[in-house]
Order: sequence, then C-alpha cells, then structure tokens
Amino acid sequence: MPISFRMPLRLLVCMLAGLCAAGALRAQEAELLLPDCFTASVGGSLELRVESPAGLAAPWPGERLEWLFWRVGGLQENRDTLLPRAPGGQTVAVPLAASGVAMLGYDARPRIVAVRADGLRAFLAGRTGERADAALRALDPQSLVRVRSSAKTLVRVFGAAGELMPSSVATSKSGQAGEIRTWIDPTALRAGSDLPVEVHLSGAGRATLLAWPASRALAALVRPGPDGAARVRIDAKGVWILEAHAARRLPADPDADWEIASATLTFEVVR
Amino acid sequence: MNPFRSALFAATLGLAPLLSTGLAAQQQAGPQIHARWSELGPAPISGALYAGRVSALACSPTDPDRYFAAGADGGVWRTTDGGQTWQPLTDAMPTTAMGALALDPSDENVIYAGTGEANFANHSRYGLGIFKSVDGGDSWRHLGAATFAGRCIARLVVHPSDPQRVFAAVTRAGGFPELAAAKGHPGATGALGVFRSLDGGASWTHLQNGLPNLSATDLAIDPASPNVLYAGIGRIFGSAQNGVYKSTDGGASWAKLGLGLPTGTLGRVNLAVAPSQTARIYALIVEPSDPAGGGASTRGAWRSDNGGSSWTAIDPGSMQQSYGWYLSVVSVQPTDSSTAIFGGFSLRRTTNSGGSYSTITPPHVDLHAIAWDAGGRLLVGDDGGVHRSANLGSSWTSLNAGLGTVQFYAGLSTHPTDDERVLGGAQDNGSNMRTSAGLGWNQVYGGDGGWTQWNQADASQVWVEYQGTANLYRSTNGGGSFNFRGNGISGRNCFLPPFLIDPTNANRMLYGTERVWRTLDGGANWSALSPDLTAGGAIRALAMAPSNPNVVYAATNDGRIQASTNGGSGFTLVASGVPGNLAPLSGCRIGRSVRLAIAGLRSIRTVFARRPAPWPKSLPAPSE
Repeated sequence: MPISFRMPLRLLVCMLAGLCAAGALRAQEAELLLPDCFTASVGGSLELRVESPAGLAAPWPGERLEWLFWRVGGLQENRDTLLPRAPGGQTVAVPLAASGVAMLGYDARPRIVAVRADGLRAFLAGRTGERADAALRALDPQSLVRVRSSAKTLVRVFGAAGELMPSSVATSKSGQAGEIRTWIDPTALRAGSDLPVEVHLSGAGRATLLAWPASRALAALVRPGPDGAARVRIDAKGVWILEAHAARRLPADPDADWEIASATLTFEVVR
Repeated sequence: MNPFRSALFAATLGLAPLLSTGLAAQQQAGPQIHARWSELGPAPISGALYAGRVSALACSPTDPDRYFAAGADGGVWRTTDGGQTWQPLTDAMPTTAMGALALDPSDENVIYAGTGEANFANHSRYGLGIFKSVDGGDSWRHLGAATFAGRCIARLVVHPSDPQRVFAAVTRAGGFPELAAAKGHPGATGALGVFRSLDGGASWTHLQNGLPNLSATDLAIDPASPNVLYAGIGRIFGSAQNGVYKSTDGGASWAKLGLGLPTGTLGRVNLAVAPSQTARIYALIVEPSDPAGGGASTRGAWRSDNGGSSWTAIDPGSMQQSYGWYLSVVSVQPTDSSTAIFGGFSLRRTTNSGGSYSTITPPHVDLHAIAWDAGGRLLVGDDGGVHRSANLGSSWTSLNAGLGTVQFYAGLSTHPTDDERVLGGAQDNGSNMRTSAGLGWNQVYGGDGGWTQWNQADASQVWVEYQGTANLYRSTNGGGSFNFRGNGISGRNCFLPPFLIDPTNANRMLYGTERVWRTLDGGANWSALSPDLTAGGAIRALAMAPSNPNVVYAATNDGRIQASTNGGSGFTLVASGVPGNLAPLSGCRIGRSVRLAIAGLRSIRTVFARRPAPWPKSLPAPSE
C-alpha cells in the first residue's frame, strides 16, 4: 500500500532552492508543462510553456524534444519538435480541433549531466526519499547522471456552444517514456476526491510521487506500490502539480553512474 | 444487428455465468433466446471515441474507403465509407476471437479470417480454425477446424498469382501460466508453425522441413518472387530456435537466417517485406517473457537488404515496455522501402531505413496491427480500436463509431430500476456506463476495468475497480465522482479481484484476494474474514446466496471451491482440482441452487447445479 505523509512546502522549496544553488543540478530537475489557461475553445490554440517545479521559467525544450503530442476527441497530433514562433521565445502554440479534455505532453531526449555529490545527495533525499545512508555519503565528488524527463498536462476544450464532451482521454495512456496516469479524469473531480494514479518510469526503478496544489503551502509525498499505483487526495480547487521521480545506480553503464527519470502532470480542479 | 453476435456479446460481458437459476430454462428455449438480444454498445466509448482491441486489419487494394477490421474478441467488421460506419460480418461464427485477416490479391472479394488472437494474453481467446468468404464478407465458410482449433492464427498470406495457395502462421494460445487461455482445449497442444494449403484453405499441410514446432508469430511472402517466404518463429517464453526463417521453394523447406541477427534465446519475432524492394526485410525481436509475463522488452530491430543473407541492427529504442509478447508488429510503406513502422506499446516510424525514428503513437497505445489503404493512408489496430493517419502518423483520426469490439471482463452490473443503464469493466478501456439508449457509453473510471457493482438499494451508489489488490472505488453520485474504499485490504490478487454487495445489507460487502475480506460499513474499513483459501493462487469469483447471504462461495484460480454457511467466517473446502483449473473458473452465483460457470470449450457453461448442501465430493466432468 502506498504510504502518504505531508511535507511543508517550505521544506520542499528549500530543497528546490538547494538544488538550484548546486548549479548543474537544475539539469535533472523535473519539468512542468503548463498551458496559458486550463480551459480553451475548439478552433483556438493553447500557448504551452515549461517551468521547473519551483516555479522558475525554463526555456522551451525545442531541439531537446524527442516527442511532443496532443490528443483530444479521437484526434492526435505528433511532432518531433515544435519551436517557438519568435526566436528566443519560451512558448509554443498548439491548435485544438475537438471538444473534450485534451492531453498534451512530451518526452525530452535523454541526456547526461555532471552533478556534484552534495547536489545529487540532496536531490535523492528530497525527491526520491533515499536516506542519507553510507552509500549516499560515499558518492563520488561528481557523478554522471542520465536524465530522462517527461511532462504532461490536461486542458478542458469547450465546443462552440460551450459543451464539453465526456472524456476518456484523461484516463488514457499517453505512451510516454515516463508518465503519471490518472484513472479518473482529474479535471472533473470535486475537491475532496481521491485521485488514483499509476506512475510509470520505464525501467527506472521504484518511484516516489509529490503532489501539491499550486496555491497551497503543503505537499504530499506518496510512495506508490510496486505496480506504480498510488492515490492522491485532491483537497483543494485550483491548479495541481504531480511530480514523480525514480533513481537508480548504473554500475555497468559506461556512460553514466546514475539514472534519474521524472514525469510530471499538471491539471486544474474547478469544482 | 444479427442477434447471435449480441448473445456472444452478452456472454463476453459475463452475463451467462451470472444468470443462475434462469439460465437452464433459457438454454432449453433454443434459438428463441437469440431473438431477444440487441446490441447495447459501447461503440464507441464516448469522448475519446475508443472501441475495443483490434488484432488485424486488411484494406482493399483498389477502394481507399473499404477496410476490414478484426476485433481481437469482436469478430470481423467491414467499412465501405472509410471508417465512418462499420458492419459486423461474422455474427454467425462460433467464435469472435480473431488473429489474422487476408484478402486474396487476385480477387479482393475472397477474404480469409484466422481465428484465435495470437497476442498471448489471458484475455486472448483461442481459435477454431479459419473462415473464408468469397463474397466480400457477406457469407463465410469454416475451414481447417480440425487442423487449427485450440490455437491461434497470427498471419495469413495468399499467393499473389495462385489464389489456391494459402499460408498460415500458427501459434499456441496464450495465457500465464503458459496455455491458460487455451482453457483446456484438446487442440491446444497441436502442431505449430507454418501451414500451407494448395486448395484455397480446404486442406492444410504442416510445413516442417527446417522449421521448429514452435509458434510462428509472423509470416511474409515476397510479392515479386512468391516462392520466397519469411517466417518469424517466436515462442514468447523464449527459445534458441526462435528467429527469422526463409523458404525459397514455396515452403517446402526452410533455413534459419543468421548473419547479423541476434543469437541465443529470443522471444516474439515479427517481420515485414518491403513491397517496393522485396529483398528488404525488417524484423522486430522481443526478449523472452518470464513465466508471469514480465521481462519481454524490445530486443531490437534489424534490416536486411539482400533477402535475409545479412542483417543490420537498426535500434528503434525501447517501445514495448515489459510485455512485447503482447504487442509487436512491423509494416513497410508500400511504395517506399525506407519508411517502416514498428508497433508496440508506442508506435515508431523511420523514414530513412532505420537511421532515425519518430514517435507517432495514435490516440490509444498498445499496437497490434498495421495496414495501408488504397489511398496510401496508414491504419493501425490497437487496444482502442482503429485509427488512421494520412501523413505517416503525424496526425491521427479515430475510426471507431459503430465498431463494437470492446472486450468486457467479468462483472457487469445493472441499474436497479432503469433498464437502459449498465456498468461494466473493459479491457484497457476502463469502466464504462451506458446511461441512455444508443451505442455510446461514457467512461467513468480508467485502467483495466474489472468487476462492478450497482447498489440495488441505492442507485446513486456504484462500485468499480481497476487491476490490482484493493483498487476499489465507490461513487455516491451515480458515477460522477469516486472515492477510494479499499482501506485495509492486502494480499495476492487475481488481475481483477471479485467483490460483492450483500443484497440484504449494502454496507456488508465481500472482497477476494487469497482470503475473503469483509466490510460492514460500506467499504470504509475492511478486515480479513478467512484464512488463505487457495493453493497459492487467488480468489477468482465470489458468490452469495440471495436467499441467505450467510451462504458464501469462493472459487479460486487454482481450482478450489470453498463454501461458507456463516457469512465467510469459516470455509470448507468442497472441491479442488476443478476441471480446467486456473483460468477456466470464471464465476458463480447462487440461487436456490449453486451454479459454477467454467469458460471452457466453445462457451461458458454451467457444469453443475446443486443445493448448497450437501456438496458433492467430486465434481462431474464437463459435459463436452
């Protein structure tokens, strides 16, 4: 069974700040995919941007994208890359052609970054629940970390008459390398409901899940079961952020010492 | 709507084992029962427009809007308007489980449908041979039943210039442990590999010269030199004999291809010949599955440009998670040999012969079939039905309106007063509710939808689950929202554990892991009621006597029947080694008598009917 406990957001923010202070550590942070608005209209478009979980603006991944997709109402668009319209811009526009809940997401290309021991130690302790045991204390001064990150968001797309088609898109599997799957459409939840999720971080070991409403000074750290199943109590309206991580050592890998995989999900609870 | 398909549909839903005392009388009514059935859907599931799993596709070579789709457990369907509408073609067949489709290249009105879904899951049903139509699917003739029954057809290939010459790739039925999905069929352990017919499918010869007696998971013919065939031998649990085999004499003899291909123990193998450059072959190879179905990740992809003499690795990346035994397919764009599509959990495309890949996953994951229509558009069959792209996968459209292929698991429930309202759990398409007349259903919960319950005393209260232990949720507003109600339950589980509501007290419920669990407060808290009732397995079905809810029966997936007369506090082992063991036990329900339904040969059957006590010490053998 998943174990849930709550963590002061200030502690989380401190951890994030610590990671940022460690310089290269930002490179393996999760990425949040956020729309300019969590509601849209058929025929319109969404502006998408990327932020760090600490709310820091991040450059649009652009050439780092391995796969970008958006899915709504029986339609899906796939892209190898999508670049901002303006050079140096940090948002991209995505057209929406059908009503219903839209799922939008991306996989970034795996990359290897060098991370200082203190930063990696803090990351593992804060994000994956790893204790600062002897093995972690004995980290090399610098480790090579293969970073895999995936991000996803859910947006409600209304038709011309204001209708919202019932959705099984929100509960569909995206096919991403890393994914937080929801078994109930979270955009249709009432605050106070349980959101069942499954965390899949392909081959990356057992995950941990952080969940918090963007407006709340509390976060929950959930440890999913071996099958990735967990549940999150959605106890407030507003934008929610779910962030999953898994880390594993790569003793036989010639290119990296560690692998850290992350997946994120953003959505808005309106009731 | 042919009523026969509806009857099968209802049986698939699990209605048959739940009908208890009235079932025998209805069966005796004979054909009249069929006239009462009508299709309820889902076709499709609203919102995302999903249908059920599609295992094979075939497209007219001349008409860009004419397709045939094979539901993995939903029969063969035809569209003549590019997927806007679909027509069921095989309602009269004795099985809805499909594995392969092929059109005769010299006469597209000649269609072969291979039964038995060759995707090896517990829900992949075994087949009964091959069906042939010579009138575009309007009527069918049953062929090869004695040769193929109990196994599955992975691929059918018709010789391009000699239409009497037909080849079939034949696999074991699936399931974990191995052959569980064969349900004890006597043909399940029959010959495997490649078969050839020289008389349009009337008779078949097992081609053994150079081929091992292992599952043939794919087969392709060189359209320019049709004496050349390639077979993918891919026993999913692994074999050193798995690999790509070639015949240059029309199948009379075969040789295993090697140079550049991986050696050692391999899993499932799929392949495709490039129609525009027939010496070019692509192969997708999976790691062997472990006994529980794990570990079958992508081993890699390979390309040969010289008819299989040598191969080059063209790694598409990991695209099949750990269950490549279930989802593996390759296809080459008909006019461009450098464009190939690799299907698994996701879908990958190369346009440079494997030099690089793009992800082009359609609106539903889990890919099983790829085809190209006469207009050059790409079609895929997946766990969500049929999807089509006119730009090589950059943009996808669902073609699932009216396509009734959703595969329900056991556990349908009905509204206490409104006959239009039905709730059921579907394979990879969640729990879905029909709220009004028509074919469209709304998904109320995701995952693999399992057992459901509709509180017969309070219609606002519905229960659903998804795969795994204690993943139990309740809605108190008719399915509008759900909250977790599995607190305290733990242990081993069937993929979809059973649960019940006491018909006399809706706060009392039972749930099965390896033990029976009980709640007395509507699911707020659960406690274990029984010891382990299994021989290492899990409880597959629970039943409670409507006339006396203290009488409880539990059927386990390792062949045990346990009975309780005190509400589940104590159980007595009343039967073990039930015929068929494991997967065959699918459900039981108690009226004045007890009926145990076993999904076995041809249908779900009631195999005994007795009052709760005394219970027979040994069960009678199935009647067929």
